[in-house]
Amino acid sequence: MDIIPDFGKYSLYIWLSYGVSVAVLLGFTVYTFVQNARRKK
Amino acid sequence: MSRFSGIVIRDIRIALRSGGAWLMGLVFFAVFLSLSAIALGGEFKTLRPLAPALIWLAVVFSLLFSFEHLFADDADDGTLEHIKLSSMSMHIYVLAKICAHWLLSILPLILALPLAGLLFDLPVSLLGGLFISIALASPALVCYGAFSGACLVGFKGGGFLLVLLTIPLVVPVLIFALGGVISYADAGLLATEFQALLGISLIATAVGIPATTAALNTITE
Amino acid sequence: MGMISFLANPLRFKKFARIAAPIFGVLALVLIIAGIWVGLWRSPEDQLQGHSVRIMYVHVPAVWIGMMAYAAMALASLFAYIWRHTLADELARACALPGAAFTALGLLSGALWGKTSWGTFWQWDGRMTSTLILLFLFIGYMAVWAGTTDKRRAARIAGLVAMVGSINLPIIKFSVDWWNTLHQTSSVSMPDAPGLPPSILLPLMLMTFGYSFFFGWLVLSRVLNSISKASDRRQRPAAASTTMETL
Repeated sequence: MDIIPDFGKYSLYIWLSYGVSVAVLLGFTVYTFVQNARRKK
Repeated sequence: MSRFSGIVIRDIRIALRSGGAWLMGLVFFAVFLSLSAIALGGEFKTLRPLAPALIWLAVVFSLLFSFEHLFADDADDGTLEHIKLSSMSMHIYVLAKICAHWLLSILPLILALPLAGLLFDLPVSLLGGLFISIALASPALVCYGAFSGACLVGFKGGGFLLVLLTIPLVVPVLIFALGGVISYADAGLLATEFQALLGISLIATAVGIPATTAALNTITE
Repeated sequence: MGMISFLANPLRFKKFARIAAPIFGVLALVLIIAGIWVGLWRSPEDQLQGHSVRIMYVHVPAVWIGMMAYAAMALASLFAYIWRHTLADELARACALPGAAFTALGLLSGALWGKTSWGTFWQWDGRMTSTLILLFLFIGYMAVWAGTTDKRRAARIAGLVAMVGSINLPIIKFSVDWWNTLHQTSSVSMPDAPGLPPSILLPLMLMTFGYSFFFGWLVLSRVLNSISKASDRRQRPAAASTTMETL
């Protein structure tokens, strides 16, 4: 198993779709944590 | 019934007295089509296949902008409150407003269709398809527009918001109408698309009138 | 029904949400990390699509959650409309932004997937077109909330817009599918779920459940936060006026 797998000609598209998805989920997570912290204060 | 026609006549009178404001939709229609023809190069050969879509878009947009004031004026001057306190059913009021608006905004567009056909040198068969598709779809268009107009009384950015709210609902109408324009040449009045348009208009009326009433009730409650 | 009327009480809802939200959050974290790991490292490439099948593991769950969010929003709006329940309004409102974000993610990953199988980012294919219209419906719903300061009226109108939209969604879907058969764009090939080999089904299911729990955590947290914001406003008007003076 490679540390970073090689997807050949599809590499860019696969990494981009996972990257954007994870980034959006992380954005929501951070935003919600900030809001939660403000509520509990 | 007399109250129903009373509101229709009142709205038409107000519109006629307003110094031609009700004709702005028609002007927009003409300007939109002329601008499109100019932007596309003015060659009949390229314009003709695009004309049905352009005419339909012109109809949709000129209508959408007309709904912003459909209920706003009645809400401002207290007519809405008055109707609610009277024994008149809100549904009848909404139906009357929609009928008056149909007469004032869609009928002029339908009457102007032959002129639009001249702008694009359209054959009679396409013009007939356009005529029937607009007529059959018009109940759906006014009901959806009236619903959005009733929702947005007193909202910021009402005009753009109205377009945004109504466009998704109009997508099926646009799809079947333009399909119908093409099929009309072969299948005539019996084209399946026309039946679909009729069905959409029925659903839109059945959903639109209660929904518009409910939206108006939020203003006065 | 019993569950709904039990949670309709704001205090009981708060109690439930305070326990459920963190559990959903942890489940989401575990499942999504596992899903990404299996999807990128531990699953074979597809015979037909090659490695590009991996995009499906982020694309399909995003579209599913987007549609589920709209359904939840319309259903909550219906409850709010009939029983005039503010909690249901908050629930509907809380679904909108995450739902729109998942729908947008679905479109974006769909475009990337399309580039690998169609050669273009966009096709006016039935599924993508109706997903795009779903995104417009979400944006319209959120614009209603933003369009007025009268919160009570915004809630009623937004609820109506969500309900009318949900009645029209099947018509939109039907018309777009019919329209799509006219010009026959090749759809992105997605095999039927029951026929999928386990190597594809496992990451797909991990991501779907992960996204679902993530959505649940988001919505519960958003509702809790907006409830407490509303009660803050009721309880501390004096504090608000002093800050105004110090400003």
